[in-house]
Amino acid sequence: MPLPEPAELNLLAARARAHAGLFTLPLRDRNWRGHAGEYAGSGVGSSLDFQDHRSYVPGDDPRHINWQAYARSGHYSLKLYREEVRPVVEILFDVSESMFAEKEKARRAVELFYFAVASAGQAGATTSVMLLKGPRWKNVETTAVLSHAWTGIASELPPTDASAAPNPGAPPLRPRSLRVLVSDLLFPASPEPILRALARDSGRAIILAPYSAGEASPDWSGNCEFADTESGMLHQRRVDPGLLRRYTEAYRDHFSRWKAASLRNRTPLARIPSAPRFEDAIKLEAIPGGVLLFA
Amino acid sequence: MPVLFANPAGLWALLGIPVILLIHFLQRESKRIPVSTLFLLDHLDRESVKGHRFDRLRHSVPLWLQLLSVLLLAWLLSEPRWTAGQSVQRVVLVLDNSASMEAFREELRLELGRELPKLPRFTGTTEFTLLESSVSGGNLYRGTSMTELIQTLATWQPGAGSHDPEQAIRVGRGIAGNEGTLVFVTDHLGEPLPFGARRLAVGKPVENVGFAGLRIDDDGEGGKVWRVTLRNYADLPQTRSWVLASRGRRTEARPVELAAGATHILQGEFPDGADRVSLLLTPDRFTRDDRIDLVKPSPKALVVSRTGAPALEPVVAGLIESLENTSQAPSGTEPDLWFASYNPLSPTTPPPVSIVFLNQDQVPRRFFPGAIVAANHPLVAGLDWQGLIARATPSIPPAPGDLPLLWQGERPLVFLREGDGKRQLIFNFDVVTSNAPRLPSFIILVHRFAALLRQGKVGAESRNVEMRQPLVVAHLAAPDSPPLTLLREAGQVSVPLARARQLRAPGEPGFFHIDQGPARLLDAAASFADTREADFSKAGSVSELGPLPEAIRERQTVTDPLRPLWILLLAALALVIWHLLGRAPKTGTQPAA
Repeated sequence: MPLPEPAELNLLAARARAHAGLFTLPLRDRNWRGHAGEYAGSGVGSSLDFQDHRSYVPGDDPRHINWQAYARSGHYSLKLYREEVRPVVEILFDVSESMFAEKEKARRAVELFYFAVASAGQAGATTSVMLLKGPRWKNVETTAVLSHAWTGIASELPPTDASAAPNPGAPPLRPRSLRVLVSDLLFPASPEPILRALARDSGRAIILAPYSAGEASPDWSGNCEFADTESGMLHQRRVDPGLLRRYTEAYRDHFSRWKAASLRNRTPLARIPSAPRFEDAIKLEAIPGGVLLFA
Repeated sequence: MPVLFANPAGLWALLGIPVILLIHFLQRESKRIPVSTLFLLDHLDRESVKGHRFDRLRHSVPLWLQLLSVLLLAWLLSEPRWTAGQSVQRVVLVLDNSASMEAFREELRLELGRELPKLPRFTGTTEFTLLESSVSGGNLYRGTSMTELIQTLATWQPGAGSHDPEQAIRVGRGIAGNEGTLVFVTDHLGEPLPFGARRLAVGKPVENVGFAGLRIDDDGEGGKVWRVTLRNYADLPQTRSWVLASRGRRTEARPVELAAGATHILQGEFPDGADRVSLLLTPDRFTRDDRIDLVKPSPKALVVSRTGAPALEPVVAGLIESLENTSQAPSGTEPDLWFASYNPLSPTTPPPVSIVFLNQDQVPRRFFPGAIVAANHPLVAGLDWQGLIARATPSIPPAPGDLPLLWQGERPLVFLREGDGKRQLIFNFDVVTSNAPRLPSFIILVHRFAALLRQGKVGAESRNVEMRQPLVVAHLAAPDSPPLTLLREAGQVSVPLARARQLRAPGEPGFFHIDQGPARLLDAAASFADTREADFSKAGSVSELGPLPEAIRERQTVTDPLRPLWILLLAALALVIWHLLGRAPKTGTQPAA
């Protein structure tokens, strides 16, 4: 697994923290559950944001009785205010071999991972990180992310079959949390079960999918011996323009299915190219699609 | 229309097909690409991953285009041409039938066997004609079989002397036509040939030694001495041995050494009682001049008689004595030739066949004035009369039809009177008082006249002739006379009287006779005497037939009319292949979806 060197990881982490000042995860447009914090919660709280009126019932705090309404109507009523909480962000990082098949793509994947962690941290969210590799997963402490120790944990995960998809349903996710999946989605499994697993327990999910030009528009020609990055198996094939064209179409159809499924499941999906600068790549799909927001 | 390939070597381009296939399969090992989207490829073409190699070929458009390009290239390089099935190629071979070709008959057969099969391959039918180059040469073969043509050469006997083949080449061109092929087959190199003929020379220098000529003289004692010239035509000294054969016996072989280009005279007498001998030389490659046969020459017997003035007797006696094989006519018989005199003062009628000398008793004081002029006649051709001094005597009365042979001033000194059974040579001056008996021209004129008479006489003679020499043999010409018969060791040939004028000596050296019925007319020996043909120093071999197949192909076939189209198609294929294999890969940051 050609993961970036520690020095480069440091650089990528620093840049991700800087990018977290420019962009942020979509935490404001939804009510969350969690400890008290700065973001609107799903319950009634003590914030200054008015939420609703309701009739007074015994046991309510009399300080919240709306006396002006009582003066007009003679009935006791209460003003309810929105709860302010710290959201829970759960970052699921697909560490299968295909994510690091190309150096450029590997850098962009790590960059997105670090950005998600930094953005969640900057928002004061309760952050948990999980590494996914096929059906297996591993929880990683936030400190391990900051110290880049997660790379060792990722390397210890056993190899999987080439066609094995990450399983977001396996790790326990907290209800009403924001789930950020960083994966290239290059597996033949149907997107529907994965998306449903991501959004279970009233959670909200976004998907950041890095990709490289080498896989989107390859320049293969002639007789090629393809080495599968997951399993290392070799496949010999002669590539002519017809085959290349059909591959491109299949690649496009694959992500069309993912796009359609993400719309149906209200799980925003943004494909992030690896070649441009990070801020330029984010602006191509992630910002217009509401997957990420300007800070 | 049958198709043929003008350049069959171009078909080697087809070897490009296995080469391309080999390269195609070798390319499979050339590139290893790590890929994370293999499931997409598997989904696309799952069966071809483990399929047959032919499947790989079938799905490779550049490969098929490359194979098609190779086929087109092979087609263009091999230069296909079409022939019309009815096309006829006429090939005329003019064969040098001079005697020197005898030495290269085997080479000739082999060379024609090699060259001729190359000619007809472009045409539907090939018609061969084989002519001899000499004027008297024949048409040896005409047909479409090359094998029969070459078999004809097995029995061919060249024997003509040196000659100019231009007339035969002209005839050959007439037979071949403008489009036909004309080949002159010889053994010598030379100037470019006329009428578009091509030379096929099959000779080479040969170290030849042979008999080059003969001479037979009287030995002064009634016998004959032969002298034969032996010549070395080679550039190196040669040693040979020779023997003399006569009446079934041979002498011991005697060596003779000849320096380069030297001649040597062999001489000897005819053995007692023998009137013919043969000289045999060690055979070399050219055998015709390795043998020479000699007969003791003897002209036809001439019976003479004399009449006239006694003053002429010394002159007449001397003349008769100088004539060979003459005899005095017995009384009562008519001689072949009379020697007579004519006195203008007492004229008489001379005999019908005679040599008449003017004679008078008184010697004139004057000489004939004026220049001496000879007529253009074979009897006086080449004779010098300027030293003649004759006295002015009265003239013999001329008669109509007299042919003056010699004039001095206004006086015909010698004239010929023929017709009405007469043949008279008349000397119209007094021979006795002139210096004519001491002039060679006078003697020669008398001898020529005697030879003229001998020529017309039917009788036996012996002489040595050259091979194929035209023979003039006086014979009985009455309608009921028997035909002439030419007899040789190899057999005999009957010659009708109507063709007697075309009689020639045999083409092979040896003795022969010519008879008419029981009467022998000629006893002769034919020998090879053309030294130009025996000289092989300039013989050589060359073939100008190399460009012939190409020329015949140009004449008899047409090129592929679609050739420009194939070239354009080949260029287009090259561009398409270059585009498919060499185009730049797509790059960009936009996702495919």
